[in-house]
Amino acid sequence: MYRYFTSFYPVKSNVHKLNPVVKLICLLILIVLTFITSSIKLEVLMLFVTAYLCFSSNVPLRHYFNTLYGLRYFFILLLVLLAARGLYLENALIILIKIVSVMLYLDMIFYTTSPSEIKYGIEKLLTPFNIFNVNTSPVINKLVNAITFFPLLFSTEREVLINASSRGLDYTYADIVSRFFVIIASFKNTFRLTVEKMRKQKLSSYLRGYSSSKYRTNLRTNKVGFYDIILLLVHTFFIIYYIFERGVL
Amino acid sequence: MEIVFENVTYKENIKTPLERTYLKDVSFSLNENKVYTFLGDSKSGKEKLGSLINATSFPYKGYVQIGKFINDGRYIKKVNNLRMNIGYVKKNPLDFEINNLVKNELTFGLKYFKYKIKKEQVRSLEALKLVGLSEEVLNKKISSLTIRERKLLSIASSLIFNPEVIILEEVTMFLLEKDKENIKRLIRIMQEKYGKKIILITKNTDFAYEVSDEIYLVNNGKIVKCKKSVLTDESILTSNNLNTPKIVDFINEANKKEANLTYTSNILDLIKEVYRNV
Repeated sequence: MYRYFTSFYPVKSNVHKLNPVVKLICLLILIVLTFITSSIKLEVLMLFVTAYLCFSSNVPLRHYFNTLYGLRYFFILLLVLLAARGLYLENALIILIKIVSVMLYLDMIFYTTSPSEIKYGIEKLLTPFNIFNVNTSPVINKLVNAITFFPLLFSTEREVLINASSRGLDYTYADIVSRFFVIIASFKNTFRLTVEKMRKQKLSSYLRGYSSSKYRTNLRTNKVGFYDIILLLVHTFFIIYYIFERGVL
Repeated sequence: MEIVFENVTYKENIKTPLERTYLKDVSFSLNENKVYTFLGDSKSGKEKLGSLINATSFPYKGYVQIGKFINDGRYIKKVNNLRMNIGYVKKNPLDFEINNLVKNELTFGLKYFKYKIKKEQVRSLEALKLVGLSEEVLNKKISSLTIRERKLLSIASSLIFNPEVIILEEVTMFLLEKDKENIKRLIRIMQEKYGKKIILITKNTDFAYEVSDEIYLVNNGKIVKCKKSVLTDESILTSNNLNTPKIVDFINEANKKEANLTYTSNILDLIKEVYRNV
């Protein structure tokens, strides 16, 4: 079983048990604070909390590192661009911490929250729109489809590459250049198969009673527990810290 | 082509909470060109044998020797020389297809194994006919086929490049009775006339009872070589979460009423036995 960014990691942990709505609210707080603050202390504090959550999620840390490792060229390019613009190392470091913090948090959310829970969380977050009689279900569906598309694409690609290998288009023992060409050669089929699988998933969710044209209620109820309150308090502390540091109050 | 498993352990998700051992210190060898059947229930670990022989996955410990090639996790030089001699049919045809059109799917192996064949179309038609598909299928899109036709197509695309070893994973799944009869006949021809080594990986004891020469029971990652008569032993099969073949069930029931039927794997032989003894 192989894990990719945005795929769910099914193990037991306190982070897995957290309420998806609380997780999404905390994610929003973290993203907003990360991009508006310029305090390195707050950044490091948020990174520390994110790292703690990742550590206690029981998901092997190498999966988190893999995501960051996958972004290595992006980081290098970013540093080069920042250096070209004459930015100091300290400021470049803050920008890097911001990106790492958000990526780790997103990773943690996806590894510890199943797609159905994410759907539930987004649905609950968008409930205020119901007052204005806005049908949010299609938007939620599209968002969740976008989230589930990439793990499905990567797992399908793996299947295709293994099958192609067993019939002569070798990937497993190929060098990096050949692998690149193998991926290019098989990508069209991978994409087609992924779309086909997505269609089947849509159909099965429809057959199980989900209709995007109607407002629906979740049978599952997620209670807000002790750890949810702690997590919310920690994020509220971040907001208060930011407000005090800015000297608004 | 000799296949040897030497102290093979196969694991996935190593050193993570999802770590699972599929095969535990397994050793056996398949020397002759026979029909070998690996019987076991779901999650017994048998599903990993095919990919280890095909060198698309690597053992955690030990090694798999396939002819002159060794799969122990290290680089295999000219791996296509190994894979062109192994036709691997997966359980689910949807996990197997990699092309949009039937003709491309059929000729995929020929193309990448660099077969010098000018009459690709003739060979494709022959492969389709061999598994019981009509010629009209050749120019169709795979997505327009039924799951049964897709399964037969996956068998045809593995047989088309004439491999020495044929691995059939749950070959009877999605097929009709007439297809099963056709596959049985095909297996016999492949093994007896063309001297192929057939490896069946299945939990279908009925099919295994009719076509197998040697039986290996797979349970919880362990593999034990057994005589074919193991398929007549209800207690062993039940302890391995397997069903007793229907023919054996019938003979056991008849023998309880002193019919004195001998165990036969063929339904016609069984009818003769009944005619003689009952």
